[in-house]
Amino acid sequence: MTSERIVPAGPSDERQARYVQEIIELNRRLRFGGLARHLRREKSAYVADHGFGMVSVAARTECIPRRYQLGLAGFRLAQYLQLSYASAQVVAERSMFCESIAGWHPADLHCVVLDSESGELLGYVTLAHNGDNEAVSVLEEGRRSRFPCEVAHEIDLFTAVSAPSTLLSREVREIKRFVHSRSLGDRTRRLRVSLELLLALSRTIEAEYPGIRALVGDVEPQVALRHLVMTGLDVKMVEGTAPWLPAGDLMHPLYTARSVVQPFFALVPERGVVAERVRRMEQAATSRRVVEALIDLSSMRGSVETAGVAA
Amino acid sequence: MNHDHAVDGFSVATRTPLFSGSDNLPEDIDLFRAAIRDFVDEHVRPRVDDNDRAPAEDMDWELVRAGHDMGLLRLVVPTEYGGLGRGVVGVAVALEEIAAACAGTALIFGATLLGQAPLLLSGDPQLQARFLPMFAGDEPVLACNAITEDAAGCDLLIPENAVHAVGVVTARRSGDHYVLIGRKRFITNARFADFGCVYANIEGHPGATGLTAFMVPLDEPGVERGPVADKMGYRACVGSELIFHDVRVPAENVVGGEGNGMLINVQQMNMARATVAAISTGVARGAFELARTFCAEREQGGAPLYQHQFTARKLAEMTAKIDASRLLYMHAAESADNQLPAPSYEPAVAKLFADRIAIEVAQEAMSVMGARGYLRSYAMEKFVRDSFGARIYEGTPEVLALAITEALYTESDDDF
Repeated sequence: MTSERIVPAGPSDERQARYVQEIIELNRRLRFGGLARHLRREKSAYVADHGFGMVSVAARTECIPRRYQLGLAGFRLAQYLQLSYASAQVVAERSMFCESIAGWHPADLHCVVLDSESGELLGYVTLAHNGDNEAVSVLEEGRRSRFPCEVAHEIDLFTAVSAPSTLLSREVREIKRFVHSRSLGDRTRRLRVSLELLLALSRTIEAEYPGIRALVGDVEPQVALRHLVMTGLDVKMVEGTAPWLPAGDLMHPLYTARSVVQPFFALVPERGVVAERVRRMEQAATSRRVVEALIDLSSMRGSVETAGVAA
Repeated sequence: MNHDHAVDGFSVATRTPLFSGSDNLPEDIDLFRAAIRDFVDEHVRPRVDDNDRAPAEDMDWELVRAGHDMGLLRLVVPTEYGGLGRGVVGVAVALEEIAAACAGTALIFGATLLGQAPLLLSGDPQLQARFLPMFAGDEPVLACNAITEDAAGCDLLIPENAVHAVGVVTARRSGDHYVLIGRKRFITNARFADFGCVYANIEGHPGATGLTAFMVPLDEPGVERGPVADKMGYRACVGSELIFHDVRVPAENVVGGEGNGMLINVQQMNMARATVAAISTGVARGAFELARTFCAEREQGGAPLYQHQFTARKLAEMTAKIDASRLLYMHAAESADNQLPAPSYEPAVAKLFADRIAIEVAQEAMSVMGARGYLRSYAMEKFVRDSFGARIYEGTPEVLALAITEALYTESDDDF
């Protein structure tokens, strides 16, 4: 018997490519139709089936069993890899099959859309907590934790947009990117997934009220920004940043693969306003004609303004 | 709470008092066992007879799905991959509970854990990341362990015999892949498994001296799922041939390095034997529970059977054997969980003993039930048929004896 460790004969980038393809395929095959059944239900947990072959689920991290958390993190990684937003090299070197969930806060909110028959994940977005539990104003930069978008853009976002000093950092959530399954070929179905995600997002914000008073993140002006404005948010953008992440960061390619990505800030309106928007989005979600329903929603569109320029 | 249900004329207490041999379990294992008992009562017992009588090719997917919901297919998968992260003790406890109702059902889950074990032993994070998370989804996924062959048989289990092995599945290196050719036999779950740990000999090495473990997705071109074995017992699980027609496997799917298959297999067996001993203990217990209930209800000479001296002696011998068997497998499981590599002696002793007492207890239990024990409708004869199964897989008594005596005559650094 020999004791040599196997050394692949092929070039390492071929092996890396095979690994990444297998991780994408692994995540594509996984099904999570039992997510709603296995959730620990509490006030912000939300489950809806509007009868179009998909189920929407929203819940805090702490209410989602670990294996489902890993499934969501794997789904997002697989989509990011296909979009070249995540580093294939980092994924292979660290033997990743999902994004790390170690940094997920128990109060992060996860909005998920699944195929109601197969349990396939179709869409996903997260509202992430920055980890601050103390009451710290967002304007006290030295005392609060920075949000990932602030780190990437090297900016004090709240000062740049003149956020109210009464806003506490623990009342802010960062919206991660809206992720759709690459298997969603049908445009109508894709629109419906987006609508369901927006509705789930708005529902959880309403359920958490007044726990979440503002949202931050970074978006491409022509893509994800439309989603936010669709929910009626008044969005303040900051121009002139040069976002980057170190080469060893999983998400390093995110800021090299896309041309313009801008940080934003948006205050959550009064509860009554949120509730009314939720009601209208629910109407749209139950409509058979999703395109027309989305056009109808445009009357509640929010606004976009450039509130600051990075130094 | 007792869940009693009728089996053709007399009630069977499915909740028996815990035996002394398992009273000192950690609380989490105790709770886990209680959950498994609920699962067995709800899902396994009601379908034992149907699954026993079903055609050999049939798999009860509803039952597999229920077990998967319980986490039985991801018991040993580490929590970072979405599993339950149980050790060998947890697996053994679960499999005894299931086998006390149906050994074949226990082996569906046990064979999957066996297929996963090389991934855990490999210490290869990429292999683990590629294969282990698939058990964390909602759809049940089965794995298998493909070592057994028609001609080579035990020559693949005894390192000293490797040079004499004939007809072994071969692996030929081709660039950054290997090409597998050959046929495996009696592989539990092979009919339905998503992947298997397949042992093949590297071309050019005599016998099985170049034995190497490969993780093989079974949807690869060239993999043929062969004929199903029509077994005497263990009918709830499906065993079949697995045939490889020039199946290309990437080099990174090798477990533990080329030529180290025997080493992986020995470690895998040392982990697995404690759990098979638990299955045999479960079979003995299942048979004993039927006999005990029967002996309380059946009266002869104006007294229940258990009050007759001869029968009392039989019952006492049976329960003593079961307790002893459980002590041995728990000790072996604990050793396997706490020693690296897992020891060979304790698991081999536990399995040797448990396999034997399963047959003895099942036969004795059948005898105390008289004619009823011989009828299918009383469920006892299934235990008798099942009791012979574990004496064959994961090491026959002859193979176990060699492992035990080798340990007896090998100097150890440990204080005895």
